[in-house]
Amino acid sequence: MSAAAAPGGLSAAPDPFLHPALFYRDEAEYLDGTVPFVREGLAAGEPVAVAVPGENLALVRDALGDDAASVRLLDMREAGRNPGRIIPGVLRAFADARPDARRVRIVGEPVWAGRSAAEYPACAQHEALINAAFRGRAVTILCPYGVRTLPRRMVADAHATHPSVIPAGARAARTSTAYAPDEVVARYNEPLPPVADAPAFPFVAETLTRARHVAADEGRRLGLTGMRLEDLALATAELTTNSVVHGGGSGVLRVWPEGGRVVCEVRDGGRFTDPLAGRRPASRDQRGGRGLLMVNLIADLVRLHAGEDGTTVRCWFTR
Amino acid sequence: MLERAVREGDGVYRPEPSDVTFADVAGAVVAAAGRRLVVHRPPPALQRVLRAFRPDLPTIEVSMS
Repeated sequence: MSAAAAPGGLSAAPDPFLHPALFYRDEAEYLDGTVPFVREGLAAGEPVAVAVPGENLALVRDALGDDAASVRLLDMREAGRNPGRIIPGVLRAFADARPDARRVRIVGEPVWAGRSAAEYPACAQHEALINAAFRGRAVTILCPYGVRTLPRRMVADAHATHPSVIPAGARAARTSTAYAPDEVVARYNEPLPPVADAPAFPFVAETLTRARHVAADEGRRLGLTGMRLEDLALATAELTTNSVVHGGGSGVLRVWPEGGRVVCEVRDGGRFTDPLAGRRPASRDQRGGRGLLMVNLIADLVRLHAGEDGTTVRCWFTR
Repeated sequence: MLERAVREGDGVYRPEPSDVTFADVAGAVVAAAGRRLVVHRPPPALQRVLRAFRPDLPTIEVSMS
């Protein structure tokens, strides 16, 4: 074990967590970068998961042949539709369930060309926060980026959210000179200004139940049915309760339609200071702290703005 | 309601289905911290919570029959 001596006499062991971005131009480069990574893991007896958009998942599955049966395959368009649930619901769900593994390998592709303008800031923040979420863990997460189909800005962000990068057509990773994950989290902490046409429902502790009913009534009127309507009610309950408990005791609820989705927003005066809140799987002994995690798990998209004078959480539910 | 019932009794608690119309995550966790709770046809929100956090809530049982 080599540990470089750091100034002050402390030894600085390298972080066992590896998080390279893999840049690819076409299917051949995609498979050249991902399939050997998967096979190396299998050969070393490591648990391997591949969570990528369905069309790329099919490519990897076909290329792996019989070995595909030994790999956990997930369509990221479904499992990771909300970027905020990828760390707890996909990556840590897989890694934490294998505590005895010497190392866990995951191919995770959270950014694809069809990601919407509303989704992308959450994608970039998610990629940045992976580094803090897995610091010190013997885990490798390889993140493919299609450089021909993604806007240049997204590829540039990948250099800032990954400590190492594998250039298109290359085999080996090199250190990213642009690595700055905290800067990405801050840059995409974009304001979510109030929507003018959406009626506001102010709430306090005594009107939490009423707030949930207001959201459900509005969601029903806007076309949500069945489990999606129940999910809207549950998310509203969690977010409004968070405002009462952590956000100064009150808040404002708004619900409105946006394309084929219903948006629910809760705004309060609390300060959101833990970027990983809602992205850590709950521990068994933990009583609180599951509310935002629950919202991340059930919503199609969650965006959060942490401001100096308040916090806004917006979540989307597909009709 | 669940919290008080679970805290104040002993043995297995089976609330009337009409009494349990909604349960958020905190409610389910508090309920699970007490005695064994059997919920008949739980409301959808509680089903959702149980699916997400089932291993953490071992004392809550669901009866659908």
